[in-house]
Amino acid sequence: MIKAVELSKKFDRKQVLDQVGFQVKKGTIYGLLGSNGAGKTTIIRILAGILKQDKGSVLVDGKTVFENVALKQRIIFMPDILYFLPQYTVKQMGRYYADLYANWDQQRYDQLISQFKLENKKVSTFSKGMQRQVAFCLALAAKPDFLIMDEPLDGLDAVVRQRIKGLLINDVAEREMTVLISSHNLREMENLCDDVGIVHKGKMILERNLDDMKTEVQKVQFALRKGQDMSFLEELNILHQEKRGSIHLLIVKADHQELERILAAQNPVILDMLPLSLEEIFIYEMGGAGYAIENILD
Amino acid sequence: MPSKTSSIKKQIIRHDIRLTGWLSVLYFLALFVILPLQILFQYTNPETRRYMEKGSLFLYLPELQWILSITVPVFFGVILFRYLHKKQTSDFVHSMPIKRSALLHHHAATGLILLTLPIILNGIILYVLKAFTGIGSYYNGMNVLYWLCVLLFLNVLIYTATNFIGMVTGLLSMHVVLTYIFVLFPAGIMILIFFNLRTLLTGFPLDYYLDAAVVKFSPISYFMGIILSQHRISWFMISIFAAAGILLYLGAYWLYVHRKLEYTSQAIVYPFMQPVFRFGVTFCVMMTGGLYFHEMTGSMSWTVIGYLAGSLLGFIIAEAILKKTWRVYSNYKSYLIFAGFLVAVFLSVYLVKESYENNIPEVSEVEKVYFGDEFTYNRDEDYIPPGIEPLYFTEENDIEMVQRLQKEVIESSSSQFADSSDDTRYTFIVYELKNGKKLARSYAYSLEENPKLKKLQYEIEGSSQYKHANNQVFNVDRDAIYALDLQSNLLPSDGPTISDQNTIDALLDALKKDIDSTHTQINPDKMQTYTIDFLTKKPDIYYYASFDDSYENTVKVLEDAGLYEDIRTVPEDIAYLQLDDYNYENTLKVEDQKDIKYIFDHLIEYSGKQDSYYVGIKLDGESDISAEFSIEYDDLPESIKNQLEE
Repeated sequence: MIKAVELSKKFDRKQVLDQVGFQVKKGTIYGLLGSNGAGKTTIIRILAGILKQDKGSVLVDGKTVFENVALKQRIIFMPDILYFLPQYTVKQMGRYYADLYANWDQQRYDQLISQFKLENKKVSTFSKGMQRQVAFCLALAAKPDFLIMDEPLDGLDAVVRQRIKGLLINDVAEREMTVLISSHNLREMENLCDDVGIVHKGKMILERNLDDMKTEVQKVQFALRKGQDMSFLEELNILHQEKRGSIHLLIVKADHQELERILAAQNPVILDMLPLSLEEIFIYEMGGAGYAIENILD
Repeated sequence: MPSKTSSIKKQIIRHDIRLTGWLSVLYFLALFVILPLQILFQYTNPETRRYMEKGSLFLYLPELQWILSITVPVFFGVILFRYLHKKQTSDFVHSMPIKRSALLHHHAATGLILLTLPIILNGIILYVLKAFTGIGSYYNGMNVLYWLCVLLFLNVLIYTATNFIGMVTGLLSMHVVLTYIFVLFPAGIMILIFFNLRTLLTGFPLDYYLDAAVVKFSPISYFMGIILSQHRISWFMISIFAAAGILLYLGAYWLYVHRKLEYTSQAIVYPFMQPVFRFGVTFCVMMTGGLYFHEMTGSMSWTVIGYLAGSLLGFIIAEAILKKTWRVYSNYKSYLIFAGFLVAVFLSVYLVKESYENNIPEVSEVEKVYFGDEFTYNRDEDYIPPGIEPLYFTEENDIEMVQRLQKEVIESSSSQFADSSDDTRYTFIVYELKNGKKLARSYAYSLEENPKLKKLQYEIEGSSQYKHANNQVFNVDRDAIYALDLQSNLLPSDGPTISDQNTIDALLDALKKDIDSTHTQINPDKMQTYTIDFLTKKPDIYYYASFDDSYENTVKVLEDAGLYEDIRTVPEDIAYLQLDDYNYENTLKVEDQKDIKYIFDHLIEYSGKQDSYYVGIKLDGESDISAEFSIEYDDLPESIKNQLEE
């Protein structure tokens, strides 16, 4: 489990993080969302044991990461701009990691490398996408309990992206690996993360479980007969309401079945329960604070 | 969780070897070419073997050995700790499961081995060469060991300093620059402070402090003396440097553990060091500015402007480096603090100025007083020929005589800025007091416009102690002299060589007597007709004396030995003199005997003055001009001056 409490950090006089707190449960994937410069990378660098916070604490399995070798053995950090030792080949990079990470699984590394069809060449000669794949191979072969990644899916094509997501989910399911991913792209996180936290200007402004959210908020369209009583709407927690002709569109905070039952009782002419994207939920739920979300929706 | 990896990380070492191995190989080759190979070449070629010097291994391209020793370790440190100065690599390395202390030890140790291996290997090769070939007669095992130890020590020290600075800075370029500033700083700041004190305090003995202390303050200059000039190693200095090296490593360790990685790519990583850097740079540039303006103008108001401009410039440079922008005015408050501090410093300098300058000890407190120049005082063999002795006055009367001169110099106090005209004296005075303390002052002053000063100066220079100390003939190693060459400076041909020991003794006695009996101090530049070169059995020792026809006793000895006629040249022998102006544009032939005699008595060896004249001497019976001297315009007879005007 990763737990950050009132994390604060200043760069010179600029407050980069202001009392940020969040929790990542074991075996889950956490999406850290925010626009560029919101403070995501700083949080991640503190988590990786690179930086030290000024105030607050960040504990991984109850311990601090900074200069804690035993704990860092179980954490892999993948930066947004990848770095490989200059002139090192894929195999040499593997050897380097093997020397430093106690849980290194050489067999798995070889297997991943062949799975991605990566040749044993100097990593620096690879394309950006291929380098990212090497980074994932290294990360997963080190069998970390915690994988912390800064914008890991940027610049990957859809096929590779899907394959990597699959591998991540696989490790989470099999080994209960805990993953923290930062991204400025909400859509990308939608069917990957269990929880998301939104950071804006150094503050955590929202934390949600995505499954809960999807079950909590519903989108529905219906049409009633002319002149029918609409007073039943007052009982609902409506986030958003639209009317196009005779068709009503509602975004409601409610249980799916409960809502369907209430509406069905009105004998509507049309009743459709519609799928709802994460993006819409955030925008509607946040109301006035939505400005922050729009920034991260590209 | 138990770690299955060992505490020695092979891959980190391997990476370091990949980074710096090539440098190690090059260093080995460079040293190999400079020493074993060169020695072998010189030895196997009989032509060059004759010129091979015996002993120290620092006789082989010492400049190169020194330059390599102060640059290669910096390269090592810079390359090994390059990862600290780039965000990407710094993040990569520090996210790895390894402690910073372990990283430092790994890198420092790998670099140390790769840096020292080339030196050690060459040491072994040199030893093997010595042991198994005849080269052993040119250097011995101790020479190899000494070479090895000196080179290792200097290399490791510079390397440690580089690593320390690597922790301080977050920029590659600053790593190199700051490393050299750091190792030169202690000496540099002393030089600046001393130079500035000289501009502020009359009598401040600059060279005395520079010679005595400054070179020791930087390993670069200290080892330059040891490697290039074969100075002896002082164990005291070595232990100081060794202690500094250990402290630097501990300092590097402490700094690394506390390094804030978010400051990577900043000039100075530790915020608490930034003011030190800022004021250090400001202070140094300010002193340089003040000194420069003072040297160029000599006026106090310009000097103050120089200080002001320098401090402002230094402050802007420092701020620009720290903030990485030229917009630095926002921090004007720190400059004001600095300015306030400076005003305090200068005020205190002015408060002590008077008492410093007029601090002349009571005669009763003085054990003895040195009078002369710095070189002689320090017995600096590079500048002082054998037979010149440091002059100390111990008698009360003599001490008073020196103090009278000193007081007059302080009073006239144009002292420091005498032009280097002919009559300028650079005088260094050291009082050694009865309580064991020393008081040193140095002055430069011209005798030309101050007859009182001239009288006092000549009084000292005319004293027998002064003559005895400053004339080689009084201090010769008589047993070493086996012959002497006699020569007239006017005659083109070689004079006689005297090897009769009795004549040599008589001549030495006569010279001493004649020098003792001259009342006024002779102008040191005055042309002396005859010279004597003493030939000695010791290779580095030679003596020299000169005299003219006024040395009665000397001339008498030569006459008795029948040698005088061989070298005698008097004005009557001169057919004519040829006067040329400084640029050889105007020529005049002087044939009148009266003029010839007058000019002859005023000849000097050489004058640098633009209005002086060269005097070519054409003797009877010679086909051409046989010697050339100079004469000052003022010393020419009126009739000649008139002819030159035309």
